[in-house]
Amino acid sequence: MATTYVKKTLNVAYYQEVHNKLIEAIRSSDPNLPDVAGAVNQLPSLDSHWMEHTSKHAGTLLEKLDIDLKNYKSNSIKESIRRGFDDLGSHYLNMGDLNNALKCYSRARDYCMSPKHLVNMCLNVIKVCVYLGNWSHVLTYVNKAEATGEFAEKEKEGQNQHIITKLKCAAGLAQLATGKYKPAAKNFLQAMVDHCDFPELLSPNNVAVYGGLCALATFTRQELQTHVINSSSFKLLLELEPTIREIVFAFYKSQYGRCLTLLEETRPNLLLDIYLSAHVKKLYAQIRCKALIQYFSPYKLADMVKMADAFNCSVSSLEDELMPLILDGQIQARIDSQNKILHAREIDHRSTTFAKTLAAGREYIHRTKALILRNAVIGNNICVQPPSKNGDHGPNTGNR
Amino acid sequence: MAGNVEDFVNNVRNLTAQGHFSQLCDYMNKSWQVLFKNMCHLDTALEALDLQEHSLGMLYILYVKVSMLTSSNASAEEFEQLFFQYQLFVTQCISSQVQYSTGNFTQMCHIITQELCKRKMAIRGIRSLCIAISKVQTEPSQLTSLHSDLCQLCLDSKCFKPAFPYITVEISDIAKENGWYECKHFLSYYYYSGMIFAALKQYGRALYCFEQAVSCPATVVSHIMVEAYKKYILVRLIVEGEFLSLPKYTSQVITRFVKLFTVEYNELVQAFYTNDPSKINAVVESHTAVFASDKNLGLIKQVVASMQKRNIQRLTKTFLTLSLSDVAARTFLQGPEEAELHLRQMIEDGEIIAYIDQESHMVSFYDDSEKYNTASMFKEIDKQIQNVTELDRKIANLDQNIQVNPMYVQKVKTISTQDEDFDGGLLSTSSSSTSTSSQPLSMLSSTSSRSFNMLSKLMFK
Amino acid sequence: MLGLSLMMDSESTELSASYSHDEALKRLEVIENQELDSPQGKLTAEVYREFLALYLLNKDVINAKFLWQRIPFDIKNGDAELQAVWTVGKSAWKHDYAGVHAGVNAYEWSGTVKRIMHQYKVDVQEHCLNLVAGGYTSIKLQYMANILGLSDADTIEAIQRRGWSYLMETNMIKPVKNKKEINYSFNNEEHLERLTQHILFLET
Repeated sequence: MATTYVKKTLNVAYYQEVHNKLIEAIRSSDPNLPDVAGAVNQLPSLDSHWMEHTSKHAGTLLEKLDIDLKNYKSNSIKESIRRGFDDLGSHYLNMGDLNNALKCYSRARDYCMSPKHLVNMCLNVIKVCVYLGNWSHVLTYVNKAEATGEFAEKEKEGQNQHIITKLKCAAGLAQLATGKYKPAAKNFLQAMVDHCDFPELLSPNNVAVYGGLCALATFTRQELQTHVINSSSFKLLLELEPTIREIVFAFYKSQYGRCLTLLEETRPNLLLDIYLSAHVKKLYAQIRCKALIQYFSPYKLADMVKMADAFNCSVSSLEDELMPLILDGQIQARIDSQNKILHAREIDHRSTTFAKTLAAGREYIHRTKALILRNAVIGNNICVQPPSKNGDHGPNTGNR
Repeated sequence: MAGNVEDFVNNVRNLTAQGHFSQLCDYMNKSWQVLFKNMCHLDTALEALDLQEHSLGMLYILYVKVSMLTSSNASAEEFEQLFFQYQLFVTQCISSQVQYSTGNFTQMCHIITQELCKRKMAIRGIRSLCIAISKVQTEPSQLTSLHSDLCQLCLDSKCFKPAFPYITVEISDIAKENGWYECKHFLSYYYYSGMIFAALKQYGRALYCFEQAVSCPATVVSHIMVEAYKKYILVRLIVEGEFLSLPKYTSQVITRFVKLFTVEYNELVQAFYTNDPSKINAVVESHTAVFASDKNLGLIKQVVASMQKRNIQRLTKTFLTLSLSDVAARTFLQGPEEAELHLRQMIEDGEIIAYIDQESHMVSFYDDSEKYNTASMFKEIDKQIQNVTELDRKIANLDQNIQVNPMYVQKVKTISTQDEDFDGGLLSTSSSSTSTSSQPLSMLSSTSSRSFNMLSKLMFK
Repeated sequence: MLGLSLMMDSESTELSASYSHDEALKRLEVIENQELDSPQGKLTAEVYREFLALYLLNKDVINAKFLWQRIPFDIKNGDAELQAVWTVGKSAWKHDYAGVHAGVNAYEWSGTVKRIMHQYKVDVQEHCLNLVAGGYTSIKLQYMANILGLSDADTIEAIQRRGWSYLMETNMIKPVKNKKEINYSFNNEEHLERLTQHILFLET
C-alpha cells in the first residue's frame, strides 16, 4: 500500500492525499461485494497520530536545520553553509515541499567551492525540477553541470561516468517531455548501462525504452545503425528490454509488419509510463511514417498491395497515409490509383529553380511597388488620425 | 449687390490679363462672402467671363454654385443645368490656371460625384472626371483625390473599364491639392480599386490594393481600414490559400485592434485550414447576416470555391491516376459527375494539368510541363527583368533623394557624433519620417539585387 | 476552324464573312466610348444587344455580366433579343456549353447580332475541341456532341477532321493531345542587346 510507503517519508500532505484517494477508490467500487466491504473495515484509518507526530518531527527538524544554517552563515564557512542548504533541501524534499527544496538546493550554489559540489548541487536541482515538471530548468542545469568541465578528472573515471549518465538521462527526459525526440534519443543513447543508476528518476529499462523509441522515430537508417545497433553500451541497455530490442531490430531489418505489430502489443504498457504516455501516439505516428518512407526509398515503382500487406493495412488507408507524406515532400512520389502503384518522381531542378526565381521576382516587384508608394505616403504625411474637431472646412484659401 | 459681383468680375478680368494668378487667388479667397450672397447673379457673372481665358475665376464661381448642392435639394432640372456647366468647365478649362487652386477644383468634383451617386446616374460623371484628373495631375503616376471618386463612380455604375488605367498605374507621388488631400481619399482609392479588381476576378491585384489600405500609417483604426481588412483576409485566402500576417510596417493599432472587429472572419480562416467544405459552410451559415451586411457574400463564395480547387490541386500533387469517384470522396464532392465538372473547369482555366477518361472513369494528373525553354517564356522572363531593372532605378532615385535630404543628413550626423554628444531627441523625432522610409529602402535593395542576380544567371543557362 | 464553319447550317455560309477578333475589339471600344459620351449614360437597345454580344465574343463574360447589370431596367425588360443574348451569356458564365449552343440556336437573331452570334458559336466549338484535346483521353460521343451543339453524325465528322478516332463499340472518342507550339523565332540582335543591357545593369 502506498500509504505505508509514504509513512517512511515526512511528507504529511501527500499522505493525506493518498489516503483520501484510497477511500474514494474503495467507496466508488460496489459496496455490496463482501470482500470490498471487508476492505472498508480493514481500511487503515487515517493515522492522525502518525501525522501529528511526523509533522512535529518535521517541524523540529526544520527548525534545527534552519538554526544550523544560520549558525553556519554567521560563521561564514562556505562549506558548512552549503551543506546546511543541502540538508535543508533534502528535508524539504522529504516533506514533499518541492518548491522550497528547489530554493534551498539552488541557493547552495553560491557556496559551492569545488566543481564536484557544483555538480552535486546541479543534480539535486535537476531531480527536484523533474519532479516539478519544470523541463527548461532541467536542461539549463544539465548544461551547467556539463560546463563544469573539471569533473572529468582521470582518477575518478568511474564516478564521472556515473554522473555523466545521470546528466544525459535527465536531459533526455526533459527533451522527451518537451517533444524534442531527436535530441532526447541522442542523450539516452549516451547513457552507460553499468552506471545507469538513478533510482530517483528512472531505471535502466526506462532508458532503453525511451532511447529506443525516440531513436526509431527520428533517426535516419544510418544513424540508427551506428548509434543504436552498433553501440556496445546501448546494446547492453537494450538487453534489458527484449521487446524494444526486437522492435528496433525488426525495423532495421525492414520487417515493418513485425515491427509494427510488436509496437501495437507494447502500446498499453507504454501508456502507463508516466514520462512516456503523453508521447506514445506521436512517437508511434512518427515511427510509422519513417517506416513508410524507408520502405519506399529504394524503389522506383512500388506495388501498393504488397506495401499495404507489409504495413498491415488496407490499400485505401495506405493511400490516405501516403498523401500527407507526399504533400509534405517527405516521399517524392505519385500514386497511380488505377493500378495501385507508387511511382517515384524525378524532380527537374532546372524547372523548379526557374519557378522559384520567378516567384521571388514577383514578390520583389510587389514589395518594391508597395515601398515606392509608402515613400510617397510618408512623404505626404498621410496618416489615419482621429477626426479633428473643426471638421468644418469651408472654402479653401490656399495657393499652390 | 449686383455691383459687388460686377466688381468681382472686373477684378478677375484685370488680374487674369496681367497674369497675377496668385494675387487673383488671394483676392478671390477674400470674396467668398460676396459670391455666396449673390447666388442669383452668378450665372450672369459666368457669362461675362471666358472659359478659356478666365478658368480660375470661373472655378470659384462654379464652386460656389456646386457647393450649394449639398445644402439645398436641387431639382432634377437645376441639377441638369449645373451638371452641364460643370462638364463644360472641366473639359475646357485651362489646366495651368486651375492648378493654382486644385483644392477647390477637386472639392467641386467630390460634390458632383456624391450627387451623381445619390441620383443614380454615376456613369454620366465618368468621362468628365477622367478629364478632370488629367487637369489636376502633374504626372500620370500621381495620385489625386479624384482617383477615389472615379473608382466610386465606376463601382456605382458597374462600368469598370474606364477606371482600369487609373488603378493599374504605379503610384509614385501623391498630389497635395493645397492641403486638401486627406488620407480618406487614399484609403478609399485603394479600397475601391481593390473591390474593382476583385469584381473582375483579378485577385492578385485586389490583394495588393487591400494591403495598401490596411498597412497605411495610422494612429486610430478607420472604418475603411476595417472593411479593407475583411476583404484582405478573404482575397488572401483566395490567392494564397492561407492568411499569415500583415506586412511588418503595418501600424500597431491595426495589428492589435482590427482582429476585434473581424471575429467572424478569423473563424472563417480557421475553417478554411481544415480543407473541409462542410466546416467552412457551417461558419458561413452561422454568420450569414454579418457577411451579408458587409456585402462580402460573393467573395466568400469564391473563398469556398478556391478551397475546393486547392483540394483538387492537392490531389494532383499526390496522384498520377485516380478514379472520379475517389476524387469526389477525397474532396468532399457529391459524386463522380460533380468531380468531373470541377476537374473540367480547372483544366479549362489552366489550374491543373489533367486528362479525364470517360471510358474508365479515371483521371490522370500531370505536373506542370513548363520547361522554361520556349521563346514565349524567355520573353516573359525578359519582361520581368526589365520590370525589376526599372524598379531598381526608381529605388536608386528615391534613395538618392533621401541621401541629400537635409533632415536625413542631419540625422546621420547626429548618429555619427553620438559618442560626443547624445542630444538628437528633437531632431530624431522630426526626421523620423525620413528614416523609417529609408531603412526598408536599403534593406529591400539588397534583396532585389539577389533575386535579380539569380534571374539573370538563369537566363544564361 | 474554317472546316467547322463550313459545316455550319447553310445560313451561316451566306454570312461566311467571319467576325475577326480585331474587328470585335475595335467595335467594342467604339461602343464603350459611345456609352461614356452619351449625355444620359444610356444606349439604345439595339446598341446594347451588339455590345453584350461583343463582350461574349471577346470571351469577357465578367464584363458582360456587369454590362447586363448596368443596362437600365426598362430597356432590359422591353427587348426580347437583348434578353436572349444574356441567356447565352448566363450559360457561358456557368461554362455550360450545351446551354450556349441551345441559346444561340433558340433565337432568330437580327442584323449585326446575327453575325456576332454565329461567330461566337464557331469560337465556342473551337474552344470546346481544344478543351477536350487538353483535358480528356477519351470522351463519350454524346457528351462531345452536346458541348459542340452538333448532331452525332456531324460530331464524328468534325472530330475525324481533326484526326481523332471514334470507336463505334464503346461509343467513345479518343482525342489527340494538343501539341505545344514552339517557335524559336528570335531576333538575335535584339536578344543580344537585351542581354547586354541586363549585364550592364548588374555590373553597376
